[in-house]
Amino acid sequence: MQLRMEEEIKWISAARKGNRLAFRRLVEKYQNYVFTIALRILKQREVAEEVAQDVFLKVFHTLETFEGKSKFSTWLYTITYRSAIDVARKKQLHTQELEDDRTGNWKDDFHEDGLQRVSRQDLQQYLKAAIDQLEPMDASIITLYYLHEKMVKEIAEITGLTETNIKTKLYRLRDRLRETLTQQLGTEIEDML
Amino acid sequence: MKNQEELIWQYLDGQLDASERARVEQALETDPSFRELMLQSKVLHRELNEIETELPSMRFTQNVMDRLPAVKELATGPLVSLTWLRSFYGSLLTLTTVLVGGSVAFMPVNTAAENPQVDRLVDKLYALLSHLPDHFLIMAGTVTICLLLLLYLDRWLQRKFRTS
Repeated sequence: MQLRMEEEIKWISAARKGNRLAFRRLVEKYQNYVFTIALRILKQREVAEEVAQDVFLKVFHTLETFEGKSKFSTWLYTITYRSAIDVARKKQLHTQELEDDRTGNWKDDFHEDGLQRVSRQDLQQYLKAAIDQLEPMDASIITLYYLHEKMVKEIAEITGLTETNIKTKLYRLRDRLRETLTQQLGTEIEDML
Repeated sequence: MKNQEELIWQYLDGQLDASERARVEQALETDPSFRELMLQSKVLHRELNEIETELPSMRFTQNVMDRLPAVKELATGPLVSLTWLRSFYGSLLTLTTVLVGGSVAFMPVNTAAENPQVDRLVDKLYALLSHLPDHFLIMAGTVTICLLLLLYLDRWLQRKFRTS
């Protein structure tokens, strides 16, 4: 872990001086995370990919301003979060638009005969669909919490909300997700433990 | 007083102290609805933990790299700064002056001419150079030419990339 951090610091330092290979290493390391955060907020792969690319370009040009006070990932996710939220606002990509396409019971979509039991893979799909139904900011909070080592303090830094606010939101959002899943899956969710 | 749901999430996040944990564990034994809620929350918590990151397209990294400028605002800067050049040539000039001055002052020269002052100076300078081995002079000349070529190449590359 420590070794990886030291390696990352070296990459950052080299990338600051214009070393493209070092920057490429950073892109390769973080591209999935940046893309996931953007996708949860924007809900559309093409738009999320475009935003994720823009984020890395922005990072390349502003790497000098990274002071190292916070973790590089926190700084990177802050840029990602803000860029994606800005685009979501501009494009008005609200979940409501997607809800129209997702009316009905998801379980029926996955298992038309309703007889087959829900698999873990299906449950992941339901969960992603349920997260997609959340507002962009809420979806990003849940995503950051489970992607970002459950660091409430850092999520507060990224989103600009208070830690108390984040904690409260996390309780409520997870309750909502639980309710949605139990409505869809009934008692099957308990059998999955 | 925390509600049941909040208590469950804090339990699963490992944020409860010993007494609160004991309270939760007791409720799990005595309250079936609380147990059911805990089971559902545990499944959700586990699944959220296991959600994998989404994968961008295969060309994502290459696309980012292709969009980067050729040279990052010439972050490397000039190869040799003006200050460095000034210091280098200043030191060289001082050293030469000291050497020549020293040789003029202390080296005995027998040749004399009509203008003894100038002749003595020139003669002494020749005498000094003749004391230096040839390969040293060749090496010094080569180093100087290489340095000048390198400086020229540096300026040329900067202009080229700045244009691109």
